[in-house]
Amino acid sequence: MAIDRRELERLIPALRRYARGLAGASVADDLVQDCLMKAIARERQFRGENLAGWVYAILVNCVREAARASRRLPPVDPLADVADAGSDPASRIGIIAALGALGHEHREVLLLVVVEGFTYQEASEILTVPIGTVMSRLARARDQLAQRLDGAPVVPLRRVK
Amino acid sequence: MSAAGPVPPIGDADLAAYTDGRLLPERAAAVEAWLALPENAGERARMERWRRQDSALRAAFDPILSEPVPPRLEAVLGTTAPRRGRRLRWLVPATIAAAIGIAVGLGGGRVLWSPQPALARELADVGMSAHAVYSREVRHAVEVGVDDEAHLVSWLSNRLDTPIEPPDLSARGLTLLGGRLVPDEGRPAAQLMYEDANGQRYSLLIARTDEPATTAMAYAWVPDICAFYWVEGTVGYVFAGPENRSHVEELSRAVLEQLG
Repeated sequence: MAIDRRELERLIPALRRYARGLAGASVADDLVQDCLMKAIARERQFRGENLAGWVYAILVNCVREAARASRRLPPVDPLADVADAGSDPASRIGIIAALGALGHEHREVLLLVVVEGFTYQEASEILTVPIGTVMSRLARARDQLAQRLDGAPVVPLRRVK
Repeated sequence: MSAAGPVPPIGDADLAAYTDGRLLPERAAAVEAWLALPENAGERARMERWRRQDSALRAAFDPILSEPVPPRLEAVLGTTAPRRGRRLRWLVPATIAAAIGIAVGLGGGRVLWSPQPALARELADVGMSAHAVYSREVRHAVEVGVDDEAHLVSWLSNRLDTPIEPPDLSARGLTLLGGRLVPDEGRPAAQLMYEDANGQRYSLLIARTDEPATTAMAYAWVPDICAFYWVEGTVGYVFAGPENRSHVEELSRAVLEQLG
């Protein structure tokens, strides 16, 4: 079905935010543009349920394709990303640099749930991985981020007998 | 709080869902009770760290929401309405194209200062679509590589039924990679692909037209791609490249000179 252009337009700021965290400032807007063009070209495939989820899935694929094409995306550039980010640049640079050091699949899920606010079910559909994988990757992503941020050792959870 | 019966083991998935507020209330209570146990102080600290960094992440990325959206992103929504699902329609305002056509309409008297006929604009669409598709192909940018240039020339010349001589743009830093056939409204057109030292791709589309015409060089633009196009006799040309108008214009003129 046809996509409501206004509804799609309202998603652009958040799509830019997600792309920026996933791939860095230098390519984020190119990826969003690619995503929007594909969304419009494929609008007949949209089933009219969750536009945000459907468009984010397209963006995730655009980023994955770009990563495959270039072997590795340019590293997230902390300074470029926080240039206009207001007060307290030091902590922002720290967290963005730590995020940039995570593996791509960990960044995907962490930003999708924590920053973009999707449910696990939605994240599972957007990333096309089982919901259990969403949760376990999320835990690993958070531990690795903690380790990189304050050098905290990652204590693996002891299973309760 | 006292444990009432056996509680299912608590794992990372519960802790993630607890942090995200996605647990059912009774399970959340069980996780809370478990975290309160002295032996789980380490886990409690871990959850606190997760929460701190979650809010730091949001604080780092949320300001992007209030940045102005680049016009090219909004332009996508306005200009790429699907046309029967096959080809993207590129918006080329005729007046702008004609005005720029006059501005760049040089070429030693061979080029008339005429507005662009609709036909030439359609050609620009074909050239830019083909450029958008094939310039991104790293390994399959061309069907016949330049290492077999004699074959490339005879093949494309035969299919288009007009002699095709790939312009030599090496003086401008462009290397010919080769060429391919592309469809132009059901007929064959030729695309020659060039690359500069930075790996930027440029392409020249050569297509036959039904009626002889001679037009000025005109400018066309879509997000990320710009092109100059013109018709001479029964052959139309579209030279497309990345969005750097003055550079693409300079190269297009070099092409035009060589074709003369």
